[in-house]
Amino acid sequence: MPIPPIPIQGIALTIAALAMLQTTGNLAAAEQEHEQYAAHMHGEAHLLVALEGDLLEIELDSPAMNIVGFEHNPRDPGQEKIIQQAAAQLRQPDRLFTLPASAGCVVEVVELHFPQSETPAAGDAGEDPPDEAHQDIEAHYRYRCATAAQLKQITLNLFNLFPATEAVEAQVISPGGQRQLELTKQRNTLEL
Amino acid sequence: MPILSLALKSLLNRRFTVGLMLISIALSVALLLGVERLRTESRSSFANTISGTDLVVGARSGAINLLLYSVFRIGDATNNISWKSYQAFAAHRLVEWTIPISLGDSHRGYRVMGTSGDYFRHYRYAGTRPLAFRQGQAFEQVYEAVLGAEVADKLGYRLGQEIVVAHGAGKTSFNRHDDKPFTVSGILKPTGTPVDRTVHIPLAGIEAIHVDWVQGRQVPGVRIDAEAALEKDLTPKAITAFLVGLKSKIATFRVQREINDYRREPLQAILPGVALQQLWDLMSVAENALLIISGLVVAVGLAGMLTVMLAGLNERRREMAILRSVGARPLHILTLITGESLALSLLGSGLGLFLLYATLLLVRPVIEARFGLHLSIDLPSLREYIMLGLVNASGVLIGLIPGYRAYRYSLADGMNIRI
Repeated sequence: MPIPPIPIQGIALTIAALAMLQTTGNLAAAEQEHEQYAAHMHGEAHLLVALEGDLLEIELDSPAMNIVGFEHNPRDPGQEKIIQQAAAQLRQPDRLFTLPASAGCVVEVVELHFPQSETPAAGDAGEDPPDEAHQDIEAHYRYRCATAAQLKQITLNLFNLFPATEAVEAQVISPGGQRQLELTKQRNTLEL
Repeated sequence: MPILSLALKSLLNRRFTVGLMLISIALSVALLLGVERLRTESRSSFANTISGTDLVVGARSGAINLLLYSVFRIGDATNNISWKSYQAFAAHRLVEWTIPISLGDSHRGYRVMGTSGDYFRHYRYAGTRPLAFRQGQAFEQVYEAVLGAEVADKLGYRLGQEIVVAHGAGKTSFNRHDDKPFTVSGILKPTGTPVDRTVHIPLAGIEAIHVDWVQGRQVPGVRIDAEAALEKDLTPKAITAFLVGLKSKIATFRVQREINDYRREPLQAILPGVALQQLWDLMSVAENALLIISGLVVAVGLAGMLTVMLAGLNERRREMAILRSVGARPLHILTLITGESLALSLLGSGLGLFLLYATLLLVRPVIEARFGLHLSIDLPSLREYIMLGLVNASGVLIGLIPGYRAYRYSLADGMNIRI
């Protein structure tokens, strides 16, 4: 039952595969370091949620555009302030996510990778990325929940805090299995 | 009660048109439920095929593509991945088990899959069910094969029998590895998944049958026989994909990222559950189209009923008049006609259900053999009951139209009709 899944993609892949065969051969492609770039779409963020035992891990990955409205390093005190505020908000998972109180979840770890806020003060221009480069913000949160069985849903407040975020593509791993769903301002609750 | 027997007699009197009406409603209901059945059954059949696997890793392509060729044996791999990369991640500290998969050969139309013994230990389907042997055991020697239930049944193979693997995936292949036959060491129990249609051989076996092959062709003059091949290094250089089970599900995203960011080779790790959902999203367009069409067929069936009832109304004016003369009120006439339409749609739905189950029983073996789709014959689901309810509600609503007309006639005509 050969179902060609996505024709255009299939053709592109075939061409890519053929090109690879002709130039380097299957195996020569391995073992050489290569550059790679992740997809980056303004307005859309990614959320990874994993729940196992009493541990809940949440990872948020968003283009800086959605969070602060620009992707270059701060150029004036105003932009500097926006970045500091955004970073402060992202460090407060309690404001970002609403978990059922009965689950008794306590934040254990907050890790924020916010390139724009981490750039050293003026004078060290070496770290400054070119203006056209995309910037992504990654935040990682870990909760430990007293009664994880009560953890039925998570409400995402990202859309109110950072209105430039239009959609969040969430991938969920819970005892119920693996799922993917899209969250929006109207539909901002994640069923676990 | 007498009005009920009168209604029944009236229906019997018109049995030919009523019969045709019933058939058209029954057929449309059977189609609607059949489409719904096929949709849910194909979903659950897909969903049951892989469980307990946290990640599927292959060459970079699309998530759906990778899932289809590695797990469902649909389509072909775009590229292979190197054994070294596989080794690197198989030894990863967060990885509990891995199942290597090497595809590309076939046996009389059935895919041949090279794998390791871990496949029989860790592969799970339909929740937490492990693979079980009907006869024999997992392969231990290089030239041993384990057959899926359907392969063994269809081809009539028994333990100890020798089979020859063909190069490529075609039903008939001229390139047969007939110098290195495999002995059947085990036959699996039926699973209702693509496993049933797979011939499993060790990775070393895949290597062995290709030692004297270069670029998909046997090198002329170079023949390395089965015994001599065993002397060679049978570690594969590349595999098609591998399945990963992790020690902790929490680590899934981390390991996925590590694999996707692997700098030595472009690899792709997918979450099978998520890829399956993407597949549904893709298919839902077609599914909805099918459902809408079958819904329209039901609408056409009901519209046919309306036409027949309206057309029959003129002929039945005398009948109505007589009913009125023996004391039936206009409201009775309305109830009679609407009730008739409800009875017809109820009967039609019942007949449709019967037709559905009869067809399911008939086509089940064919669908299972041709498409590997296992149709279970269960009682109607809640969704199907809702559909049936909707059909019958529309039947009543539609019946109100001729009912109202008859009501008006019976008010206006009284006993004197001029036809």
